[in-house]
Amino acid sequence: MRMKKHLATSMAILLLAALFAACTPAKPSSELDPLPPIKFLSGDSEIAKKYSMGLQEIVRNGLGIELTLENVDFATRLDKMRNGDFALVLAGWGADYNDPMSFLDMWVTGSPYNDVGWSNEEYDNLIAQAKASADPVERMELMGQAEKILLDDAAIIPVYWPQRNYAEHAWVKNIVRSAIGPQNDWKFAYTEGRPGGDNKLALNLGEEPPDLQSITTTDQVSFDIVNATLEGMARLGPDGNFAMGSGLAKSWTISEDGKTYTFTLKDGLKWSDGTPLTAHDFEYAWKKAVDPRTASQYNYMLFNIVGAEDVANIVIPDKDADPNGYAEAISELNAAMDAMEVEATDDKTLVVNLIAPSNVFINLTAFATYMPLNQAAHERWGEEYATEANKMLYCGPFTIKEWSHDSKMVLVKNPNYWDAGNVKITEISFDMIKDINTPVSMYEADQLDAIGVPGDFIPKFQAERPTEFHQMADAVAWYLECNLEHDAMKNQAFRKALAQAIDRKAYCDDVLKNFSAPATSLTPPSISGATPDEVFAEKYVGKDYLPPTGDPAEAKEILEQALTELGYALPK
Amino acid sequence: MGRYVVKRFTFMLISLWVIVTVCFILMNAVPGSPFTTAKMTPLVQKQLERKYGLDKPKWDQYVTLLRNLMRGDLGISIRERGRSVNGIIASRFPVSLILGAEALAFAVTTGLALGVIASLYRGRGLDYVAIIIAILGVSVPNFVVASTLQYFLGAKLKILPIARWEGPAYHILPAFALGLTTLATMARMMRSSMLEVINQDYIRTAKAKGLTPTQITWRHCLRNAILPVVTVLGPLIAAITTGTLVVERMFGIPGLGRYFVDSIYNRDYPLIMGTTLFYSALLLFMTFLVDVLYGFIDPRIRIAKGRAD
Repeated sequence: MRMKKHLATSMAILLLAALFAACTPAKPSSELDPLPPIKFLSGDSEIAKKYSMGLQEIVRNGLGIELTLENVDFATRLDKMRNGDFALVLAGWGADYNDPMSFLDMWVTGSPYNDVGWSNEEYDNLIAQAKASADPVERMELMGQAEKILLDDAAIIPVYWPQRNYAEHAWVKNIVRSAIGPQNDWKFAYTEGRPGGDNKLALNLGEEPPDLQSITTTDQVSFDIVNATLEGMARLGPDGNFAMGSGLAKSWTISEDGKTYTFTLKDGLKWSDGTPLTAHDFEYAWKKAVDPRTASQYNYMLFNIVGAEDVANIVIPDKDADPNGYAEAISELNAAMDAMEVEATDDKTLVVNLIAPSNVFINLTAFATYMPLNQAAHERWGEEYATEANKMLYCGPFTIKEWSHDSKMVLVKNPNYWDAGNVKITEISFDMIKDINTPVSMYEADQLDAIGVPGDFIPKFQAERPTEFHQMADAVAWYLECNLEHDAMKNQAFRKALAQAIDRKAYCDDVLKNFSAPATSLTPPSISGATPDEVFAEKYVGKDYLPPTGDPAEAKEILEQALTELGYALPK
Repeated sequence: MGRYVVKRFTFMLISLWVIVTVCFILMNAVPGSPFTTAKMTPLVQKQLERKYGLDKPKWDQYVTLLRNLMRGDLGISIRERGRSVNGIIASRFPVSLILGAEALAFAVTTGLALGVIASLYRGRGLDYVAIIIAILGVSVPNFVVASTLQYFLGAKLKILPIARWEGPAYHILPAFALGLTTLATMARMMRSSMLEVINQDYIRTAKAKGLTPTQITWRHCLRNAILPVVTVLGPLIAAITTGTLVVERMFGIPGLGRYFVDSIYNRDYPLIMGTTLFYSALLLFMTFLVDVLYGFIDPRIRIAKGRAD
């Protein structure tokens, strides 16, 4: 009897349910399309595989969604990103200069780095306003608002901010390490009680520097050597500032409107061959850096100079195929170069006009692309400039004494450097060992003075060499990019579910295990705000803007909402 | 013999042309280009493509490539700005060659000796020692051997340098690590080849004639047993000079090995073509050389091949 009643109730419920289902347009869940596969693009190194599998696991556990891993090499990954051939990708970006703009202007509509196809009018306006603003605080506020819009839309999901783990022996003092630009500066370094002789350093570069020509170089290894052997208007000091007088400029003045910089060079500056170093060497380098024939990847670092972008945009046809077009383009180029507003008014004065005021311009003049070049030397060696130790000129604290390609590089103190009296290191010998384990053995045998500590060795160094083991923040962010062309990814709620499902803290602690910090916003905390002691992320975006641990419960809720909107079946 | 050499040489050139063509097609089929970097802008990418002639149609690039190759010009590396591929190969290959030669000399002498000893003492203690060494050599990858040696002999005992490429002492560990697999292969082949020969009728005849065991081993066994080993020597030489990648990387040796792999990761087209072509030519030439050498060791082959022509 009771059984029958139970059955009847069940039947009634079923009938009602069927009726309800027939009335609503939605298909019964058994007939809903399953979620289309989500192709998760990542690197193919052992570490990259581990990192991407960690995220795959987190998303699987949190949302029940299976990401399809696609591990490819670096160039393939970038190529696929540029062509939109992904649903989700783990990507990293390092700052070019100490300003949030380095992380933010890449997401404006139509930017070549905006692989996800994200477009937001309000965001574009805020970035444009920030670029035009002369007020440092207002700029930061505008960029802070912009970053929040970016984070709220979750097309870009920050995951972690990496740290640099390194070890140096107790006798090594005062190597200036920087998160942006060159990573290591040995100008201020010295040693105390070093076995094998004081004030020498033995270090590992990790690879042959691919390009030591300042105006074209793009990689970290070359940056360090270029920064050691050349110098710009300013140099980053041990105090973290680009002080007046720290570089080749004795002083500079900035016009009322913030757009005209007048640099005055120090007296008696010389290149390593003894020729005087003049303001013309700066004018030559800055114009050469945007010359389309130079094809410098970092030419955009100079685009704030009036006329620079016009020079870079000139298309020069093939000389043999189209001699007339070539001649025309060259004369057009020469005119544009003359019109570019950087001028050496005499041997010691350089005047430059900017399109918009900038609070990072001095910082930029310390960057490789802005370093001076001697025209005569540069033209003498042509394409071979800076490919051998004796085919380049130096003006920094060190010169290259020996460059055995792929094997060894020896820097020695540059006697012609203006501040040679304060450079204590007399010789630095670099190995170029690419393997990451060998340098650890060499460090332990005191054959290297400092090394980067690979992830697997962190526990060992913490236990055995706690005073020699150090960390510092990098100016790098790693984030997920959601391709808005993808059927599910184009839904904002779906992306938000993904963003909330990621427990960044657990990911850093349990998967990465290398002191990386959970990225609770995009711009890393090593990027300053309006003043050097302000942290942009904390002050203008908000500390822990995204929860470090995520919000699994909310994530599931939003996911259900998203899938209902999209008409896909819920994951089992 | 002369006609045979000419014919083999012609085949070699045709093979090289096929390799160049296939390499060109594959290289261009791989996603990305030398200018695929994180911060590349479309504007600069176009400028660079123009600068390196990669904006031209593919067939045009192919014809230019063949024309340059005929002149022996392998082009300029894109990643290592301004350095010629010819220059890179000319300066880096001798290092790989020296390391390879040292490893090979060590592997062949020790390997052959081990094989011969093992076969003569078959089933006894020395045989087992040789077999164990051979198995270890084949099964333990050279980077494990290398890092173990680096750690114990270099970092802990400080008898030998951990890495770098300077005096003769710097050659010992890498040559040992590189040669170990070949040593094992040699020992194993020599042992089985010797065992086969020892059971032949002519060895029994030699014994019956009253020759001493030393005379039999040197005059009859070795000369016959070494033939199959010589056959694999050609490819082995090529393998050992091209297989230096891992060892070079671990010991910081400025050889050509790393370019072979890194050039592909960097999509450095001229360098990919240059190293591929160079190594292919090397491999083909080694095989060719062994074929000719074989004829000298075994007169029957020389005659047979001469007739076949």
